[in-house]
Amino acid sequence: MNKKAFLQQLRKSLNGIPKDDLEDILYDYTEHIDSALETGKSEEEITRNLGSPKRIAKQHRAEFYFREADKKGTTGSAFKAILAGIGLSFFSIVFVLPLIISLYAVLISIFLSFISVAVAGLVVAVAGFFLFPLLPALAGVLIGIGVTCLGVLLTLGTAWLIKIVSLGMVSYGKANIGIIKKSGGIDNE
Amino acid sequence: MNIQFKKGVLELCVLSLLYHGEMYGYELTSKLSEAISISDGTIYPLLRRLKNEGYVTTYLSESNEGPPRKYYRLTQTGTDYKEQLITEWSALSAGVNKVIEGRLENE
Repeated sequence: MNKKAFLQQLRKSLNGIPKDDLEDILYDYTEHIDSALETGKSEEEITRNLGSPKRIAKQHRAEFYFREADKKGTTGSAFKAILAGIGLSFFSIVFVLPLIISLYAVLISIFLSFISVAVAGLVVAVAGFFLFPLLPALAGVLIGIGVTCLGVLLTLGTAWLIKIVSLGMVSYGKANIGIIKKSGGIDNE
Repeated sequence: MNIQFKKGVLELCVLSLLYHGEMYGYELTSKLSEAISISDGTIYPLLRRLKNEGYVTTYLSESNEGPPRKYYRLTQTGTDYKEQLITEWSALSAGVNKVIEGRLENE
């Protein structure tokens, strides 16, 4: 692979990284190749010693997304970080990814069902109001309001739980990356 | 050499090299590959992380031949961290040597 092909592949594989970081990363490799060329090595030899640009890009992406997730602490950024992290290991894709997806699926289902509880409470309250002569002392309205409040509380509680789980995921991912990072990620399996 | 061994000590090697003097990327990878066999490209993600964590700083410097070079310099935090890693490494390697030389059962 010559210099141009290496840098092109690296740029392509770093797709999604903000421009400033991307250019900074590409600068490092350009400088490396040019410095090595000064010592009389061939482009082929230099890029072979650098290793696969796809693999290099994976390490930079993982590094980048974990830093971002750390800053933001949102579910979206946590998920990106997890995806970037698991890109590094087959084991994680096969064993950890389904677990993470199931966990989020369960949490989101619970979240949605609590919203339904709140909505059902509202319906009961409104229905209770219209059925007033049939039911004694606005009982239906009060029950409806109670159920609505309960639903809202549970929904908020679940939202909080999802946030905590996302933060936990980031820590877990960072611990994983820590192993790879200590290595600086050597380009072998 | 086993890949996991190299992974564990690469960070320590980079910090130790920089402790003895500022270097630019290619210089660093050349020095490292004299000692251990690595893919040069993987040094840069490590350097970026070390920079983000405040262990090293960088500055650009013109060179007589070739492009301006990005030099890496160890910070005080980086020096402290390097010392901590050396302590850990020494304890680990001393322990491992004991086990593989069979001295453990004689004590």
